[in-house]
Amino acid sequence: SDSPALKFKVVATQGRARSSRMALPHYTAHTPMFMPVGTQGSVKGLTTAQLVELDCHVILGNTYHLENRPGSELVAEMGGLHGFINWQRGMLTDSGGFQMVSLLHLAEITEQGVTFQSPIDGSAMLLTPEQSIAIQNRLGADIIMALDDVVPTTTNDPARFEEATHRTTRWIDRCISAHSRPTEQNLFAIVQGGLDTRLRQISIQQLVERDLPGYAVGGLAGGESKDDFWRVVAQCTHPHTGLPPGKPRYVMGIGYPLDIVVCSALGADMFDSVYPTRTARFGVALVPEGVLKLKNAAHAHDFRPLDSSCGCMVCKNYTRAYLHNVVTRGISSAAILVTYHNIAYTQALTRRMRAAIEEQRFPEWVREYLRTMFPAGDVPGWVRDAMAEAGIDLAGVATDQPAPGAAAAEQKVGAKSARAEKRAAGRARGPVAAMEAE
Amino acid sequence: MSQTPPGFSVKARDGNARCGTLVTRTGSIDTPSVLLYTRRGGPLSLTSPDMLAAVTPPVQGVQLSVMQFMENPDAATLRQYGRGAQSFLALGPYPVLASNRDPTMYEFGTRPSSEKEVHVCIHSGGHMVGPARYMDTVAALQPDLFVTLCDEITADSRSKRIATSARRTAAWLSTCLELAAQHSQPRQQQEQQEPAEQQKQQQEEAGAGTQGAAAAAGQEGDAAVAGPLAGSLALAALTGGALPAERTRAAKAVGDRSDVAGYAICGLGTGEDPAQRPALIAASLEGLGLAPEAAAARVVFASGVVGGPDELLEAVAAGVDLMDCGFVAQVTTGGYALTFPLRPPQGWQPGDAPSAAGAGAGGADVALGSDDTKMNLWSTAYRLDKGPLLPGCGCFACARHSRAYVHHLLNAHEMLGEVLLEAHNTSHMNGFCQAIREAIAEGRFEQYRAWFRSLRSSPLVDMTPPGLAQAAKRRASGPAGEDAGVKGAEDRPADAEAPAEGAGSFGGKRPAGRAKWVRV
Ligand SMILES: [Zn+2]
Ligand SMILES: [Zn+2]
Repeated sequence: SDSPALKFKVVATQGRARSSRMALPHYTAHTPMFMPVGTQGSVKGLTTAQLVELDCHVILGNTYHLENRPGSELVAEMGGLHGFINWQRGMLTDSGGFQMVSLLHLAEITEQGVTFQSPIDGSAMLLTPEQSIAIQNRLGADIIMALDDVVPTTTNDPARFEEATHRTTRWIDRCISAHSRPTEQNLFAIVQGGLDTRLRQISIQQLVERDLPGYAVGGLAGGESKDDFWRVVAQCTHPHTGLPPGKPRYVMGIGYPLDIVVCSALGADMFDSVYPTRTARFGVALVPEGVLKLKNAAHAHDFRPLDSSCGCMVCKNYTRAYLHNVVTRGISSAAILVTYHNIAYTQALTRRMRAAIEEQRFPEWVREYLRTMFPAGDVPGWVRDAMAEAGIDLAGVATDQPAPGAAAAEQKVGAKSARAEKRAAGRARGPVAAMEAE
Repeated sequence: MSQTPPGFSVKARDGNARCGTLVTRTGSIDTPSVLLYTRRGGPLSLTSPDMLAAVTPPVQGVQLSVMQFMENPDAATLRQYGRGAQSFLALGPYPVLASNRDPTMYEFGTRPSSEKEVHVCIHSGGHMVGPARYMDTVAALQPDLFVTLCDEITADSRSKRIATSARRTAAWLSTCLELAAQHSQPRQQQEQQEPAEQQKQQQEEAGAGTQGAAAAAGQEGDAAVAGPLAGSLALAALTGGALPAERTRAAKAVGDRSDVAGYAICGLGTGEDPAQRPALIAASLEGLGLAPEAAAARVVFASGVVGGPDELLEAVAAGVDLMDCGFVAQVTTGGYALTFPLRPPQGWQPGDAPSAAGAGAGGADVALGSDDTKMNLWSTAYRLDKGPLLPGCGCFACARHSRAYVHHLLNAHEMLGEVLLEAHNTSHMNGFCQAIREAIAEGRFEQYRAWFRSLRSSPLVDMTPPGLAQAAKRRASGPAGEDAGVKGAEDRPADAEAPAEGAGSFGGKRPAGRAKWVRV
């Protein structure tokens, strides 16, 4: 589909998965893609030259943080975010609303907008849809996000979800009216509705009527069950009743590699999360088997690269043994190295998915991916269900559930078997909130 | 280059300053030059090898502290790895000098040293290190150059303590050199057999090939391989406190030895008056009593002398060829970009007004928390400054990013701020060394030195940044804790809302950090 500032072309599909080209004012991004989060105008120690080397197509900036400092007016004077940070590829900014609700005390949503207490002087402040768009217009990202009324999926208040769904629609109209650069920046609407399929359907229908250049699935990755999570994504990406097939679909706050794979199989195109960069600073590397906790004593004498299948600068040059000693010890360069690898990992993951879809071998690729991550065949139920929905047969990969007690036994041998340890760690991860800032 | 055997040769001299080439088994170093500072083998913020390769003029060599490899990782781990520090730390193609200390902290003196061992405090706590353990670690690191074990003492040491230090350091020198000779002998594969097997096991477990110790160990079985220190150059430690006569005496005890490639002047930067340093260096070198030909073939390394460009220049004037450099780490952590001019204006003559020399050409301004050698990027004056850190600089940071961006990154506590500053500051110091080499080679070093001194209203003033005073106190009371920040971290203004009075055309318009949210 064509919008003034975005041309989206699906180049290949297989099942629900698709590989696409999204021509943005600054760069033609290939999807499915993962967008690293550069909250305050930098991705955790990486230079923009390194981000190019890492094959990043779009990076994120957080409106709330950027408006606090250095301020969107300053950024505009410096040539927009692209000029200010010297990044010539795609950029996306969020609305700032989620950051406020999640970071600030006394943030409250009213029909006017998000009211909050100024972190500077404690006075009452307000972020309206008009203002969010004005700030994002000054920041100048290729993709800007509508201010939505986001309710955590874990909230137990159906009326609140009803209200938020309709308010999000009212606000999208205010966002569209306020948008002053529609030929240079793309406004994406965000589907709300919590876990209620009826509300989600209403939200989809109302937002699609506005014919925006792209759509996001919001309100997820906030602590809901994996089962609820994939079902919402599947509803929004449904070939007939979901978001329009000719437009990009962005699932917000998704950064676990397995989640990226599942959402891509269901037909989503764009993902973002602080997870790969944040977990790196805690000494956790992403690997095909799951995660590698570098602080683990077993790595002190492990002279293998982080990931032998990764060709990144870090994996070509460093051992786990070196990183084990220094990664969380105040030597910035070491933390940056693991961050570098984790971004390399997510970018390679999406690159491989695109190639597999284009070469019509995506189901095989998914099976191989899951076989590596779950060599014992204990693929989680929600992944099996999501893959069934996506039409990907997991026969021979997702074999029987592990016998009762097997998990406990695995915990015991965990210390001895690096692989079992990695698998256990991969499952023990907690939620990362959507659109979280770095 | 690989045909030339490792060693040092002087190409040109001007007074006591010399310009030369140090050939190592890895590559050669143009001298005088500073070595890149590392902590536990890693540059502070620059990732290696990619960002080190972006430094221009290029990195000449890398310094690391042997003591930081007493534990995590230790010598046994490195031996098992088998390919030395350069590979383990991915230090690129640069020669590695392993010295006995970290120039940004003082790790000795928490507990007394003995005749057999020195007490050192590192990230994992205190260790007693004697020549055997020290050389065992050096051998595991496989550096291109190493400093022999020194009984380090501070500048305030008295004659008796200095004499003790000199006696121990001379004795340890002999032991270290004997051990180095043993570590240079060709050895059988046996020692590496066990780790190689373990490696194979790991590979099987991973189901993937890897290049590790197994590759380094070679597969020929009983073939002898060169010892880890074959071709590695030894630098004899010269100790001595701050009494020139004692330094001379300590150096005499070492004297001319054919089995060393040069000397390491130790114990500097431990509280002595920087103005006194050239005399201390001269006293150490004099005490060696080298014949001119011998002196021309021995490289002189000094640790802890680079507290700023003036001190570097004075050390070179006193005959130093190689220096470690905590200075870049200190200014970078303080949020500074080095801006001092590297070359005198065309036709500059002694007696010309300093202002004609373009002091402050980089925009440094005392009113902005800068002096005439560096600028403080924390200053709000740079909020909207689209210019590079230093106009005319071709470094990675200056070619790509603005002062405004670096100012923002510091304000936002983003690591990239220090990455860019370290890239610029490292490049700038390398550019300074290059300019000094040119001046010596062209026989105008004294003029260069006079010009550089004229930039300062009073040369060799106390250039110590505020944070260093505290760091000096910390030195006296023992080393910093586990991976504590570089000294000078305290330099940071608590708040970036620095006065914008007269701060260029942009400052003062709007308070920094004030968002333009709507008030209700
Ligand atoms: Zn990698
Ligand atoms: Zn520069």
